[in-house]
Amino acid sequence: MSGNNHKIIFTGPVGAGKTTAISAISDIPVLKTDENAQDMTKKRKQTTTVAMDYGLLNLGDGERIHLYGTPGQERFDFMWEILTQGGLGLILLLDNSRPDPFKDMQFFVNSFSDFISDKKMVVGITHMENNPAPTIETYHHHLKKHDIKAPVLEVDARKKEDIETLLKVLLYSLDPWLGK
Amino acid sequence: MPKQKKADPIRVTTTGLDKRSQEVLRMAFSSAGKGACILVDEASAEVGICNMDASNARTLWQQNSTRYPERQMVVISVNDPLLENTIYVSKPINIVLLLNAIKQAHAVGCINQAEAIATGTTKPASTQQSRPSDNSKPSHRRAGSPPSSTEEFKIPDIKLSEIKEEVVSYYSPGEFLQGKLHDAFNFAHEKEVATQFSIKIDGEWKNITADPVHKKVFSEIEDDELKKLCTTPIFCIETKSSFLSKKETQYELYRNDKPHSESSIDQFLWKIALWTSSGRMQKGINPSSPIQLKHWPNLTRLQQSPNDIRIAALLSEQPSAPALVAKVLGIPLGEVFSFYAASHTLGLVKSVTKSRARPPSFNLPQKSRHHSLFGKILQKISGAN
Repeated sequence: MSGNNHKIIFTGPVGAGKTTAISAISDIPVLKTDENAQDMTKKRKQTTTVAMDYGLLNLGDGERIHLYGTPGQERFDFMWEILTQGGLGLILLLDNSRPDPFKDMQFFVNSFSDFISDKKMVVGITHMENNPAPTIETYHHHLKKHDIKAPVLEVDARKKEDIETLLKVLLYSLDPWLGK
Repeated sequence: MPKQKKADPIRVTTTGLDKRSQEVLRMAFSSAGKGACILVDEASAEVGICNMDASNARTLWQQNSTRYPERQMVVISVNDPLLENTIYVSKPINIVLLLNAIKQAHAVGCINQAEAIATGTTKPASTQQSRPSDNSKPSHRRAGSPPSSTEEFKIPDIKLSEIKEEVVSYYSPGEFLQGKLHDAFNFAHEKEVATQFSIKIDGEWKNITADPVHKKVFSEIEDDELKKLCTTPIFCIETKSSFLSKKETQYELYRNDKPHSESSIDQFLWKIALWTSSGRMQKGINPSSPIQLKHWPNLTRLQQSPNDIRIAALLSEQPSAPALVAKVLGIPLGEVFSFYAASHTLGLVKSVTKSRARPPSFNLPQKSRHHSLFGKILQKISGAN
């Protein structure tokens, strides 16, 4: 049994689908730490994650991957540094229906810049079915401004196959030798 | 040094095929195959074809793999037997697809061998391919073939670029439906009007309608039919196209009296390119010239082939030649070509000058220290657990 505390971190703004995405692939019911949302956050979601969401991937033989969702509200960002310790990679979920998703992207890319430069990040864009703009191409353009080359994929956080694909993309980006 | 003759046919052997089928294959090789392949005995073959629907197919395949571990295999069957390191061709056999598969298998074999020689990892010929001694015929050899145990080991005169160019099947999108659709969609995009592309199938016109404003395609043609049409030369297909007024567009796009499928233009063009390529490379592209992904395709919304994510991960990381991507990832060359075709049609891939592309062996990302762990996660989410 491995004693390592491996994590995959899901981050993004309120309502981007972090809790739903973790629920889609977790082997256990996700432990949520929601409470009624306050102020601006309430407009987007009635409850929000205050500490973290927690899910688990059981790999067998006692080996496990912890799935952590960061708190949605910016005022809890002191948690993020703690959460990223032992992290394998980052999944950034962005909500295409928000007024300025690029501002969100910039905020999270800056917040996790050290982690991203050391590990890998994949970006999942949610709510595109009803909000086709901005396009995936535009996200790539904005990432390029930050000198970041990361996969950007449209996802529906409720769809297990979408989140699995996102995770596969993260894994192959981390190690192209996988499957060889 | 001996120079490789371009006209040398690929030596192919079969397993699990009766005499009659072998004769049919022999005829197909000399007619449709234009002599690119010949049937030979088991010992001197470069590529094997194994009929996985034969009664003892698994045993035969296993025996072959043990006796000729370096030989590239094409497996033919009604259902994909999902065997590693093989190229699968489904029955009923389409001779063009079979020939492509043989060429791809041969290309992989040549690259494997050349790189093994280049890196000094070639096994002694006596262990590389255990040939029955009574069938060892050095006269059947060509430059690049493994020397027999009695021959002195010499590095043959192999240039990777020559091998790759020689064995690859090329096609021109303009000679197929893909080219016509692309032109029609481009024109519609420029004019910002919907276009209706019609194809006559069994005497009936069926429509593919593209709406560039909403980036949608509505197709009355089922995917199975469309897939077949993609590899049919365009001169064999009756088509017409027209542009629709706003009123006609509303009517055509949203009427429900004809069954149709709906997809984004990108999804549609991606799959058309995949099907048209069918493992072939577009004319004008050198498989030994490096290419690079401008950015990742939106793979959650595009038709995926088994190794698309792996190819994208490598090509987005660094420029690489398609032939080397196939080698590095251990996948059929045709899969890289199909990925290239689909990415190219969406403008996601660019050619890179050779000086900017370092050989993958020098700058490939290292195997992660979590390689084993990642493998387990992958297995888990792929449903293997």
